[in-house]
Amino acid sequence: MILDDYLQASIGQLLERARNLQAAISKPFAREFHTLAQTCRNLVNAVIYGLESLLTDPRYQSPGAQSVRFRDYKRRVKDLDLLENIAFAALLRSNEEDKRITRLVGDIAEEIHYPLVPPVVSCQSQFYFQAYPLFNLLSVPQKEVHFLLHLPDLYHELGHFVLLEENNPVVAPFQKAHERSIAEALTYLFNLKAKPTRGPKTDIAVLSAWEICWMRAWAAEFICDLFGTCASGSSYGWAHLHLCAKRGGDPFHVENSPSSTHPADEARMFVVLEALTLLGFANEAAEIESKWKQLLTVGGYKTNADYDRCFAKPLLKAIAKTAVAGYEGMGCRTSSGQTGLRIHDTLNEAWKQFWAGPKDYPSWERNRVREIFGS
Amino acid sequence: MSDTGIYAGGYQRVRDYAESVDRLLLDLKSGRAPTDEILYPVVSLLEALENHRNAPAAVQVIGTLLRGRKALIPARLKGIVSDLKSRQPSPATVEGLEEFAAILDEERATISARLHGV
Repeated sequence: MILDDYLQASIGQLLERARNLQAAISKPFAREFHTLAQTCRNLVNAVIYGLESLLTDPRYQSPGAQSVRFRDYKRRVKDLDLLENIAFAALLRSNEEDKRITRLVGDIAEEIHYPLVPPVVSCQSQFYFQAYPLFNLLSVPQKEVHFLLHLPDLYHELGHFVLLEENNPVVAPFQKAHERSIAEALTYLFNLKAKPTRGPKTDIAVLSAWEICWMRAWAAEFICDLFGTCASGSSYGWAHLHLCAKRGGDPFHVENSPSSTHPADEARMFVVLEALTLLGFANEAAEIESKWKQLLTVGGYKTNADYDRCFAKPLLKAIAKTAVAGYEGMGCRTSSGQTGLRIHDTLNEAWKQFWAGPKDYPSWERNRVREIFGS
Repeated sequence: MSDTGIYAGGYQRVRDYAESVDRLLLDLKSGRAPTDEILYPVVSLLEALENHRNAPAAVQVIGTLLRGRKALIPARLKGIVSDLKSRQPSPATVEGLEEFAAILDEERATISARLHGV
C-alpha cells in the first residue's frame, strides 16, 4: 500500500527531526524560560508517541482505517511544525530582551491580579503581537522592548489566554461574556436576515459569512480589546489609535470573507471608548474620540452601508457592557485614575507625555524604558 | 490586536475535536469496542452541536459549517448520538462520523493555513 511505504519513510524523518529538537533544548535556560522549555519537552514527546503509533498500532491496518491514519499523520506533522517554528524558535533564540519583557508581563500579571500563569514573551514576531495559548507564549516584534506606546496591547494578548483556559471557574465570567457576545451578534444577524428590507438575495451569503467571522474571531477580538481597556485604561484606546494610524487601512472596511481575522477598526475603537466611559474615563474617552475623528477626516475615511449594518451601535454597546462585567467578575484589578501601579501608570503617563510634548517625547520615553525594564 | 496568534488557540480546539472523532473511528473500524474515555468526548461534542447556540465558539463554527453544507442535519446528528450511546453503531453511523471527521479536518487545515498567513 502506498500509504504504508510513504509513512514508513516520512515518519522516520519526522521522528529524527523531533528528537533533534529535543536534543537542541537539552541545555540550561534562564529561569524565565523554564515553563516554556518544559512545555516544549512534553509536547514534542507527545508528537513522537503519536507518530510511532501510526507505524505500530495494528488498528491502523484495519480496512477503512487509512483515511483516519492519513488525517492523524497530517495532524502530527502540523503539531511538529508549530512546535518547531514557534515554541522551539522562541526558546532557542531567548536572550536578554526576551527576559526583560517576560519579566514585564509577569509584573503586569501581578498588578492586574491576572488569574493565570503569565506567558513567556519572545521578541521574535514578524507580525505585531501574537498569543500562542498552547505554548503559553506571547510574541512581540524584536525592538518592542525599547518603546512604550504599543505595550498596552500586551494586556489584550493576556485576554486571549483567559478565553482559552479550560475547566477554570475563576475565568468563567469572562468566558461567558465572550459567549454572550457571540449570542448577541448572532441574534442580531438572524433578525437582519429575517428583515424583508434587508436588500438583495446575495446578502444572505454575506450575513452568513459575518456569522462565522463573529464566532471564529471577531467576538474574541472585541472581548480582548475590552480586557485590555479594563486592565490598562485610556492607554489602550491611544494604543489602538496609534496602531490604526500606523498600519491600518480603512477603519470602516468590513470583510465579507469567513476567514476574516479582525473586525473593523472603527468598531473596535467604539467598544473601547464605550468601556472607558463605563469605567469612569468619560473625559479621556472624549479626548481619544476627538483625535480619532480628526484622523478619520485626514484619511478621508467614512462609514458605509456594510459597516452600519454589521456593527450596529446597540450591539457594540451591549458587548462592551457584557465584557466589563465579565472582567470585573474575574476579580481582576480594573484601571482607575490613581492606581499607584508602576507599569499601568507608566503606560498611561507615556500617552500624556506624547501629546503634551511630542518633540520631547522620545527622550522622555528612553529614560522611562530604562526604568521600567531595568536596563 | 494579535494577527494570527489567536488562531493557534482556535486551531488547538478544532484539532482536538478532530482527534477525538478519529480516535473513535479507529476503534470502530478495527472492530474494537470503544471505552467511555474514547466515546464520550465525541458524544458530548455531537450533543453540543445539537445545542450549538450555547456551545464554545469553535463548536458554533463547526455547527454553522455543517448547516451550510447540509451535512449531518440535526435529525441525523441525533440518530448518531443515540446509536453511539447504544454501543452498537451501525455502518451508517460510522459513515456519518467519517463525514464529520473530514469536515473537522478541513476546518483544521483552514485555520492552520491562516497561522502562516496564506
